[in-house]
Amino acid sequence: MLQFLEYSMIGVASGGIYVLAALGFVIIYKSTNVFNFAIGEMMMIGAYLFYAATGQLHLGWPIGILAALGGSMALAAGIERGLLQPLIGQPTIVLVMVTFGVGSILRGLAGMIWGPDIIQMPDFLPRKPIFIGDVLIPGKLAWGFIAVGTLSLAFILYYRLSRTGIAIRATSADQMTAESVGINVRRVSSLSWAITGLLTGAAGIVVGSLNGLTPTLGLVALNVLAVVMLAGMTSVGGVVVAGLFIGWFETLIGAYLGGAWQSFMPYLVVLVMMTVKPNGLFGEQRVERI
Amino acid sequence: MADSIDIAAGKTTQLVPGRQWAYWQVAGWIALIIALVALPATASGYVLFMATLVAINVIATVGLNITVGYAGLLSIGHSAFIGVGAYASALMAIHLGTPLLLNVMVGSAAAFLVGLVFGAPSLRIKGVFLAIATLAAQYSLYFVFQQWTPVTGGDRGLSVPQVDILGMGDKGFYLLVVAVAVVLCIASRNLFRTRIGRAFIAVRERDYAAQVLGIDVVRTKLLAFGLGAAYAGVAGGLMGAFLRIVNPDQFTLLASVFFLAAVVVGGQASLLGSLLGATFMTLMPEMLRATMEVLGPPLGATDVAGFLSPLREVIFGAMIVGFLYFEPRGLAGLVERVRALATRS
Amino acid sequence: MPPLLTIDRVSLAFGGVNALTDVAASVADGDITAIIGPNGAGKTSLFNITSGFYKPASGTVMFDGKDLLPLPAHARPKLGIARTFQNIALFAGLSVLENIKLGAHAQLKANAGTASLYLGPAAREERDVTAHIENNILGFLNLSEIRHRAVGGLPYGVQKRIELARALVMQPRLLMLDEPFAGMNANERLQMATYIRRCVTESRTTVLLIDHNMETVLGLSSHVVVLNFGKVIAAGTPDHVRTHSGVIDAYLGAA
Repeated sequence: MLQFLEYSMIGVASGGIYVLAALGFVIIYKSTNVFNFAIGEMMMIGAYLFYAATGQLHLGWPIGILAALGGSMALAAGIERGLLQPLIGQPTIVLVMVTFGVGSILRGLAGMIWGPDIIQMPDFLPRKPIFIGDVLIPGKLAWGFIAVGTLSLAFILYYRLSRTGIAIRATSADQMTAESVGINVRRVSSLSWAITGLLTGAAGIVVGSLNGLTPTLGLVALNVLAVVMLAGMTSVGGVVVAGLFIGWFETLIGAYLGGAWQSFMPYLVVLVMMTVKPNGLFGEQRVERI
Repeated sequence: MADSIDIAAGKTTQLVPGRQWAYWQVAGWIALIIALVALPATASGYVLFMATLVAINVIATVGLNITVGYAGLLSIGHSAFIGVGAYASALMAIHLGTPLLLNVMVGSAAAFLVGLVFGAPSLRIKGVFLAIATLAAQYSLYFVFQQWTPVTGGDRGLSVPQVDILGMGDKGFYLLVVAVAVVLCIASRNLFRTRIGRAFIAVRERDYAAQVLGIDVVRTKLLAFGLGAAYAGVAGGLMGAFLRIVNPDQFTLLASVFFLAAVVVGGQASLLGSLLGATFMTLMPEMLRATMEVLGPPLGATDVAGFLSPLREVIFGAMIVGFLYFEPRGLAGLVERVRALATRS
Repeated sequence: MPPLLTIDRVSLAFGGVNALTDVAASVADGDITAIIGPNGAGKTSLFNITSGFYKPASGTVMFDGKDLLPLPAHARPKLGIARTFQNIALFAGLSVLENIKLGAHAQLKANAGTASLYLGPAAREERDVTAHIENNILGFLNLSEIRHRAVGGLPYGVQKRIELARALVMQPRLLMLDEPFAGMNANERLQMATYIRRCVTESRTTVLLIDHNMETVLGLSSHVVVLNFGKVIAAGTPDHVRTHSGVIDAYLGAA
């Protein structure tokens, strides 16, 4: 029982990372209708930027975080401004293909610059384990979860309460109407990419600190997709629940059935959700007008 | 139905050639086939090897172009279906000793069926979801290839018995692959002379308008995706018999990026595009490697091979992005422009 | 003779807003029936229910004695229902002829296998349908010259004719035209009205059409249904509707 509780805590804590990245995915989908297949690679670049600043340039972790987050925001905004804005009006499939191509480019660049081998990130999260009663949670994970949770919460509040958040939601509901009430749809799109850069950068730093750094770190994107399918593409609140659940579920499967089943889980979730409940558990059923 | 934005003007499938151009076109195709058949007489072993590889990749690219180019469905796990065809066909050859063409057909059918398993749930919803489902296929099938050791041989893979076509060795195999490629190219062309191909394009452009014409959108999408997977299965069966080995590392995400790049670089919804794209993409890494070997490894990198693999990821990705951005009609679009210039003067 | 299409007590809502309320209308076999009303009255919604894009919250839609509502959209053309769209729904990636051939989709039989081979029946039916279109449709709608052009850059009026051609290839029993006269000048309107009339007299097609311009429609149709704010406010002969006070109010109010 104690072991089960420990696994559960570890799972939920690692699910926080999925929440953060999945929020980034959903926000872009809501404001631009694009599936961002570079989401995992954006996380990876954030992590490498942090490593470059702290491990290679020895700048200390606060500057490292600023550099990594700033860098990933700039990268995301650059992708949106440079590649996606000019293609507006093209079929969605073209935009999605571009994000997929960008993912490949980023993966290759990381391999060329930092090599294929796993890199240990400089420690900045306290290692000292935390006890809740008898349940032990590894220190890095606990602090990582606190960081990720705080950021998710801040984002959700921003999304719910700020003018920008309202603009994003309005654009998602009906782009034409949003435009007619004076919302700058292009700005909303740029902004959601920049926000996604921030969220994925942060998620990347935490994943990198926990598991080490390789160019294939972006593979966690599959778990993120599983989260998004479970939550429904459009539900910000649902993503939180689904993200924590996937993290928990995955860890338990890994602990009791083995790593092989753990890596198989996200695809199963994706396929089952598509078959059973394509709008996710919290997604809205949209009436499409012709 | 939100997807049914007006399609890029580039996807005009029906060219309207002048009569003279039509003759040139036919002459060009005939010349190409003669050249392909005559090639083994003069070519070195290396050239023959590359030519066979190009022909196999053409088959896979033609298939992916049916799915992505004509039907507008994004599949980013094409290499996984090539893998299904390769393993199914190799297992037939190893355990049953059946003839190659039969193995390839079974491989193709297997890829078609596995394709439906991954395609059916997502295509009931909305086209874009196929991208997620195929990405799931990419990773989960790779995982099956790697982990199901008793059947697939795990990381070491399967070694496939040699096939000798008419006692002609490599040349015979080359000619067989070219024949299959030609037949499948003609088949895909024929498809777009009939209701089946028209329905693919109709569903790509305006699914609601397709419905009032009596087109079952979900079935049509499934067929377009399944056909793409079936072509991949043929390519996989031939690939395994050609390289005489089938292992998981042939069917990675990078290989899927490769084929998507081949479609985009060559030209979506164009047979000529598939040919040009597959040829270009197959030869390009070779040229890259040759250049690297001459220039030596770049600063900081210790070995050429370790540098080439990520460089390929960058270049394949850049090809997709660059062509979508600058020439969405691909190399076939460039050819079309040259033709327009030539017929005007 | 019973009506070909009967719409009975149909209601439809979008997110709490009633688009249609208890709408009833019928289309007599062999007639031209018009649905008119100001913009946003629910005319196209009624078409979309009949085509199978929207499911009404309540009510029935019967076609030739069959309940249409359980059928998916793509099964309805086989019963003999064809339609055009207000915003023209042609396929830009195909030529004029190929667009029109799509109308024959449900009649043709080729499957992926026979189509790939393109021998025997698959090739023959393709030639037959091409010949049918060239002989009976292209000339009638004056499209022969441009049949190999891509539809993309063609003028609006021509695109409307292509869409009509595509619907006619389906040899429909009920032809639903959504604003066939929209964006046309007086001359083109006259021409389009002639085409529609000939469809009825020569091919025994029944026509249901939408327009917001009363004058064009009243001269053409024998039965008129007037919608306003999702409700039927009048129905009957053109003369009856023309003098109906509610109709005059709706139009003056809307204008």
